[in-house]
Amino acid sequence: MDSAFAIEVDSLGKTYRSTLGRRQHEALRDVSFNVAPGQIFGLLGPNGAGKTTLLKVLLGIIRPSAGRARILGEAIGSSSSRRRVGYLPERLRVPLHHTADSAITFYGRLSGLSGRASRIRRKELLEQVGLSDWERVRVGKLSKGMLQKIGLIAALLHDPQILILDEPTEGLDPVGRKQVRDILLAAREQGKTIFLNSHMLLELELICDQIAILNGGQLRFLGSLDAIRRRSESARLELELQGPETEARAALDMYGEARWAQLGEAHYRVDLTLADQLAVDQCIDGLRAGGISIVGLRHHTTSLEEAFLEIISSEPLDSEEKEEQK
Amino acid sequence: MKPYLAVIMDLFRAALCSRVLWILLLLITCFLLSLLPLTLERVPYQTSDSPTGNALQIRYAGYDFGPPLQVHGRAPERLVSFAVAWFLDYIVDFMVGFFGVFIALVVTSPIIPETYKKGSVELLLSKPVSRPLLFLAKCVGACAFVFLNIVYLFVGLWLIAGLRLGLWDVGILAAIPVFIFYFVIFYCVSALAGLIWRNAIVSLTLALVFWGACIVVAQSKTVMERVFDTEQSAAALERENSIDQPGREFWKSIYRFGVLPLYTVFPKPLELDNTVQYLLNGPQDAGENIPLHRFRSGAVVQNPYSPVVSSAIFVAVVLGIGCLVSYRAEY
Repeated sequence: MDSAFAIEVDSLGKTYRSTLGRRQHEALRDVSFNVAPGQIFGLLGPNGAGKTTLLKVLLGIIRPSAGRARILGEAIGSSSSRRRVGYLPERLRVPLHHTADSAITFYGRLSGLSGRASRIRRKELLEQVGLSDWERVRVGKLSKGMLQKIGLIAALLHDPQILILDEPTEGLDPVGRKQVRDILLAAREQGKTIFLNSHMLLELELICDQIAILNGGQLRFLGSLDAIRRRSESARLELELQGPETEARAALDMYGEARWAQLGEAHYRVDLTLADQLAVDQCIDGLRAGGISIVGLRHHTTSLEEAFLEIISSEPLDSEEKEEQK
Repeated sequence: MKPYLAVIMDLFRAALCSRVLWILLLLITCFLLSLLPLTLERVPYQTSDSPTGNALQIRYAGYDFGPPLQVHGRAPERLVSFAVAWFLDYIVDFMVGFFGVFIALVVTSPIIPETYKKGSVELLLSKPVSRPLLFLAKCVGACAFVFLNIVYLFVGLWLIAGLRLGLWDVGILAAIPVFIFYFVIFYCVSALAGLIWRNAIVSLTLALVFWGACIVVAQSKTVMERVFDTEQSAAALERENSIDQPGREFWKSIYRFGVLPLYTVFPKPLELDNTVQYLLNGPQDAGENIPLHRFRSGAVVQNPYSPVVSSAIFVAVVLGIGCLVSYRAEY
């Protein structure tokens, strides 16, 4: 069954219950979003936000308590949907008896690949990530980063349509991170959909088309990175003004609450937050039109990280916002 | 079937790389070599009630190993079957059956817990494989690994019994499937425990506890039935003398509501020997001609197939529960 979306998540919820059902923890609550084919979708959130739970639900490793999700139009967890997905877990643990080579072949066979097919593809991918010389080395002797690359190869080996990667650049040096990014960008070029889970905002910023931010099991933001950037462009303005106070207050009244401090006669410092650069320009135009002199101006911008922190501490999206952001 | 074959092959690869297989093969070779100095000799044996009896003298490297084993009232030609029975009972059944199954359980108990550990299970379950079949493939892999070792051991035993003792008996080779079945009975418990608790020590401990429980239940049943039989014949006498035994009803309730239901549900590994003897020697010989369990009070079953059937049902139920648990579990 084909669908307009690579991944559809609709009102998904997951509650973990203790064996006797006395304690329960709501790991996911009413999460909804869609991922278009050929996109790199980033799932962001602090530790314990429910990101890995969401990934496991999508892979059918755990079952949702509420809602539904589909992968390429197939029910999650079905054999056919798993055949079309490549997965890299967060803490990959390859049995120690494997070499890089045999581990990739083993996971390839589990994906239904023949020995010959996996041999051809394996060579190509090992070269791509710079591990050709390490194929006969036991995984116990590989560094964390190398192991992560082996996991990525195992995820890519059967040429899946969707890649679900949990912290793929964890433990990698800058060169390794760049290699992984290049592989993912190349995969996108081939039309694959990539679902990335990370808590590294800057990492996602470099490759993601769309981002969802999760905190406390709830969706806090869904949209493009540009939307977050727009948030980060909101400016805190510190103005030093000279002129009649009534005129100045009238000019700034429309921009919400401002903090006023008198520095001298008809001399003030005003702190206020404006939505974007357009609002800053309009504010200055208004002051000048009122005959106010702008003696000093300091512009404090919010970083992407601050915007992210602001988002995760914000209220969860209501249904209207979700629809809008979808 | 490709992914499941890969899972089974991977177990062998793990065994080869961890040297477990090589160590086991070496231990088996040492055990077989240790049996080479063993000889059985027919010697005349005289007692007050049997002046011209036949006996078997067990010798190890030329030294007598205990007193000769007398075969009361048996023709000399039956000595061979007696010797075979001795070999099966002591070497195969006791030494290999007990220590072999124990070692096999120790070696295989980490397989399932390792498979379902965090970090490795997620990747396995993200692949297009069926969870129950993955669990069963791991169990089959463990059994195949044990089978490989057992074939080597029993073929070695058969050759030693034939070449050194002159006992060319197919019963030794027939013990291969019995041994595997014996192992499977306890391994399925170990596998289920490993699946639930994901801990090799818990998995092994529970399998051993269950093994002990099977022996206790079977022995209790035998002992209680003997006691109750004796009581029945003594009942008339008791009634005449009006002697009351207050604990009797209590023990009968224990038997009726505790031991008997458990015996019915539990597998019957101790009785599998009798089934093999029945199959090998025919109905008249089962438990009679071949003195298996001569010195141990194993119960002789009325229906030779019932231990196999009830044990197989038990294995199927436990593996079925394992499949269900693996299907429903969240990792």
